[in-house]
Amino acid sequence: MIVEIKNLVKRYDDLIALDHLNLEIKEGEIFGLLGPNGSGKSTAINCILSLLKYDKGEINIFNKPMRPNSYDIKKDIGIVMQNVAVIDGLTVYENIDYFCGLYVTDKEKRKKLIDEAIDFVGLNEFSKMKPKKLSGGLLRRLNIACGIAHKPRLIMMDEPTVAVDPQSRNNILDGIKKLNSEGATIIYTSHYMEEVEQLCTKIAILDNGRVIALGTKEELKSLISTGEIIVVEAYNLTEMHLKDIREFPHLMDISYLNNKLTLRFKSDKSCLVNIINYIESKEIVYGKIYSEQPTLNDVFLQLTGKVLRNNV
Amino acid sequence: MQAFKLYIRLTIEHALPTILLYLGIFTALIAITSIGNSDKATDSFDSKNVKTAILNYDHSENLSKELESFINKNTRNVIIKDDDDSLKDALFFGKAEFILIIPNGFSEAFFSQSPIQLEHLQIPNSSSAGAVHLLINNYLNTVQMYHKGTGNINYEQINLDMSQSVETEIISSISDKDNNYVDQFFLIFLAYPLMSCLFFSLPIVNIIMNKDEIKRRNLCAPISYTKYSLQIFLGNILLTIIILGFFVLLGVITGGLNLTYINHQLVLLNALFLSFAILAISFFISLLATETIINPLAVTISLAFSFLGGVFVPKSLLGESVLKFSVINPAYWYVKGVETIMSISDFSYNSMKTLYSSFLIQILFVFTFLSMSLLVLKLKRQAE
Repeated sequence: MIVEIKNLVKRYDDLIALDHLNLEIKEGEIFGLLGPNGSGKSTAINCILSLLKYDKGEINIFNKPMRPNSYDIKKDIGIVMQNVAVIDGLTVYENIDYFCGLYVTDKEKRKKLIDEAIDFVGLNEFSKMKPKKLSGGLLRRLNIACGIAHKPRLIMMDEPTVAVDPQSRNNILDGIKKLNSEGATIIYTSHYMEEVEQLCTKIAILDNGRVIALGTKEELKSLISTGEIIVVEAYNLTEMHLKDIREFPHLMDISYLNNKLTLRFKSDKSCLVNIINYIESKEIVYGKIYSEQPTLNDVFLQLTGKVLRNNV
Repeated sequence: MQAFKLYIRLTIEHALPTILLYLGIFTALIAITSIGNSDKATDSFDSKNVKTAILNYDHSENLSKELESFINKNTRNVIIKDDDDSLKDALFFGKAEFILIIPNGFSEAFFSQSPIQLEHLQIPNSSSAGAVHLLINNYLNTVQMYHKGTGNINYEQINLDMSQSVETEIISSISDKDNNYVDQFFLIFLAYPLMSCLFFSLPIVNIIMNKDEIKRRNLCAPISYTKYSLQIFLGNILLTIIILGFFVLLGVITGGLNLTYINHQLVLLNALFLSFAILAISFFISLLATETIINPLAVTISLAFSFLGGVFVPKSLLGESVLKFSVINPAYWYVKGVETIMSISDFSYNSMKTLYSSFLIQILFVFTFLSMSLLVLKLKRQAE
């Protein structure tokens, strides 16, 4: 086990930020911590890193208890903070050199690692530039390079793609997969569910400081009753048609608004073919038809009655 | 030593231009002032022509008589009436440039454990009067040396030694473009560029290195926070010594400082204490200020400290209330220290007492602001 958290409790006066949190993270996983703002993701990360004192519980990393002075553990951990932590007065190369130098004292070895990190995040042509001249996406990449240059066994990434353009985000996500394929275990926090779905091999959904669901994305989706959602752009549907459709097996919910028919089916039951057949048999004029699988947001919605995030 | 190296790197990036700018301005000022002084010195300065009056209340003793005779030989003796108004008038109308008052019991006390100080009045900022002052100091130091060394004082020999040294001193004074100008200008004014450089350079680097995200990032690394802070503090000390070193070097090159003089060595020590007091204040400020306000703050504080401390204007021109307020200003104690050093005629405990108190108060500033900084750090940690 790379990380083991038992009954972790963290209070801010009356507010319980972490409420008996239990997690086990195995070697080689990309472990996603998913939850809305204020759910306890960053608090959990800060407790794991011993940046915050906690009231109760136990944290073991690499099978050793984690303390603020556990330097033997810290040297194998990489951290990519939510806020970009780079020094404006230094160039890209010097920034990576500084942070890598906190872990690796051998100059020759460090030089090799810095070059690899710069290659990895694709900042070769910017290595002599200062952070102020970099775009938001490049700055995030530099932040990642500073966190991973020393080739840690465990990397914690706290919302590394916040305020990053889609192209840079894809680059970052590809990079994370590559790090994982090279052997690093990754803890990834985000409130972007698409990222977590795309990236993580195991996901914990947090709400009010507690794990409300844990498993692979398939396991999480199977927890909820909602399955496939079929949307049909259909014109001139009559009450008779809607009555027929309501008789479809496994249908949970139906709505027809502005020529848009939305059908929600029970978990694991696909009825797309039946719908298409029905529409054609009744010669209903239709436009697009598409099918959506349930998202983690649906999982979160069904488990808590709240949406995971307000804006995508 | 990663944090220490970073400190040096950031200093070069952020503070070096400011330090060089101040050095440049200060060098130019010294050059301009010394050119002005050098003309005056080579054309008209002659210590033997300094109009000196002596009021000797210690007639019975050898030392006083010998000192009086020595000064008379080496300066232009003038006679003035012995009352307050006449003394002031003599200085005001230029009848005398330097008035020495030898108090009763001076000779006897000079060789005891509790010497009595000589008193003197002089025209403010007079270079000639400064030379006479130096002459008296040297004479008394030589007598003291004879007394301690042999126990037997041969005034004839001392006069002979001194007459040679006076010649040398006068020549040296002229070629050094007036030592007293240095006393008044370099040694006291030094406080301003020194404080400006320190206030500009120390807090800005500390603020950058103590930014929340950088600090948090460092706390995740296998380096203890204490070690990290100590490395930053070591950087602060090194930078302080380098900046002071720059000014000392400048002083030595321009003739502003002669480190063979005990007085100047003491001024250097005084400047070191001031530098450390500023270091401690800068460290404290860097915990509270932000990157955007630190530059205007540095200008304001260094100017305020200089004005209120008597760096730009003599302390006698500052109001009583200002002086009361100035006791919480390390520059005030630095200036007071310099003034005491330049008026010391012997280096016994009693003469040095005022100087020791100036030193001590500056050291107190160091401890007070460091303690306050530790308290702020603790409160910040608790808040986090």
